[in-house]
Amino acid sequence: MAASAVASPRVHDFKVVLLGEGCVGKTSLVLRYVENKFNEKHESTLQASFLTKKLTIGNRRVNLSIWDTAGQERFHALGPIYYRDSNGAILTYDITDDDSFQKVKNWVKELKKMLGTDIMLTIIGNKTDLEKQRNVSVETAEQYAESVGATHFQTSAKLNRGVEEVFLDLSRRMIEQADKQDAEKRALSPSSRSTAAGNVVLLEETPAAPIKSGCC
Amino acid sequence: MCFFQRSTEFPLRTAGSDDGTKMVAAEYLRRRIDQCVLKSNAIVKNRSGGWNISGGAKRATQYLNLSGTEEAHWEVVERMLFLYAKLNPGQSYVQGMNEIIGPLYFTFSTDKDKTYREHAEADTFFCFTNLMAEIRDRFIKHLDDSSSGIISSMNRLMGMLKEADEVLWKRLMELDVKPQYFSFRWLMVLLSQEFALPEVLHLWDALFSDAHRFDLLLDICVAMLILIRDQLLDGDFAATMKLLQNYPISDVDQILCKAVQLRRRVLDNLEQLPEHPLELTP
Repeated sequence: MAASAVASPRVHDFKVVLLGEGCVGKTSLVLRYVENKFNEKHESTLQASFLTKKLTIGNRRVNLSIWDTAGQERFHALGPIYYRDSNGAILTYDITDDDSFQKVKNWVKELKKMLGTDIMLTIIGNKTDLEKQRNVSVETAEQYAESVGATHFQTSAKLNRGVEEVFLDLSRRMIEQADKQDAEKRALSPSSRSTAAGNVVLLEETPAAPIKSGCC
Repeated sequence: MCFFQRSTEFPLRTAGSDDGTKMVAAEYLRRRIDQCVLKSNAIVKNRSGGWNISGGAKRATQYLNLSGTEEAHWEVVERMLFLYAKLNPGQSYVQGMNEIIGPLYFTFSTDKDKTYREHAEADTFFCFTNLMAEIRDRFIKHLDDSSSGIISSMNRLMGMLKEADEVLWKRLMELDVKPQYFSFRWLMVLLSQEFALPEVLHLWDALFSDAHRFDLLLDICVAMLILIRDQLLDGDFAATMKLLQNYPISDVDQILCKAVQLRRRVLDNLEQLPEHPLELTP
């Protein structure tokens, strides 16, 4: 184990899951974010796609493992294997489709029930390029998001509006949450404090154990 | 692949009329179907070789109907899927059916023989319905846990992998790479999303000509895993997932050979046992 812990920045491995009704643009959002691409054509997701993205926020390095799930009801039962152990969830609706917004509410309920407050929630209204056909008002969505402790963003994967911000904000909040949890852990076990001796605690940095780290 | 956005040679016509004054049935039906579709909240979207019906979604503007008497291939496919969903209300449309019907329709509608092309829609629908009769349980959520459902297929796949290559199986377990993460899609749409269309047709030829066709599918999946075992044993979770979701080998022959070889080995092992081993298992 390296003694140069002071210099090495903290690395976070976060798991993020995208949930939402079919055809709201989950895959488009992720593809825009990870590869900066937009495909006019539509390919429906079966099961779920796995993507990764590295980013740096301040002195923190973040590795995102992103699960882009299939939206159609048939695949709903698969949800738990993807959102379990997730640090963050992005719940997406289509601003032109009120049903898809209701579906977001269902997901929020399910996640709160299964995961409590450990998971950071972001609600996204996608397809702002179709503003003229809007069916879900910004106020309604923002109020709802606030009431469940989620942040709300509006995006257009097609026009590349707001996509980057979603993942940045979520990553920041996941870092805060991780810091909070670390602090709680330290407070609970005084022994770990004595071994770490006020130095940087390398909870997730041990490179020998990539398998069991935060991701999946 | 833009095939499905091109116009078909044989748009639907009202029976028995060849004079140009009559409205082509396709145009008439198109209007009817658009309305029905909006009412029933199920709409098809086309993409390169695939379509998607989904509640409440709107038809993408880039797939505008061709004008007048023309009808695009995707509209033909949309009609078949719509009809299938209406005829099977308990099942309706599930994402992935498009991946099943696409290669079938492509095969018929690009046949060298004009008669085949002309009857492509009816033939495809017939074949699709029959094929779905064999595999539809994989599309039905509440049958997931039944013996014909997708979960038991995935479990069988992992069991076969364990038999054939325990080291690899163990590695996937260690990484917690669940079969749902990759083989759900493989099994549900008969690998049609993993390969380019010509390869899919080739693979399906082998699959459909096998008497135990969907056992062969499992052999093929095991073969696919074993063929990339070195890479799989090397990678971490992310690398493994990316490999499995973007399968690197496009040579279907190589995969089929491996699958047949695996099948033989299993059969040989069975023969070496003194009695009927299948009946002996509790």
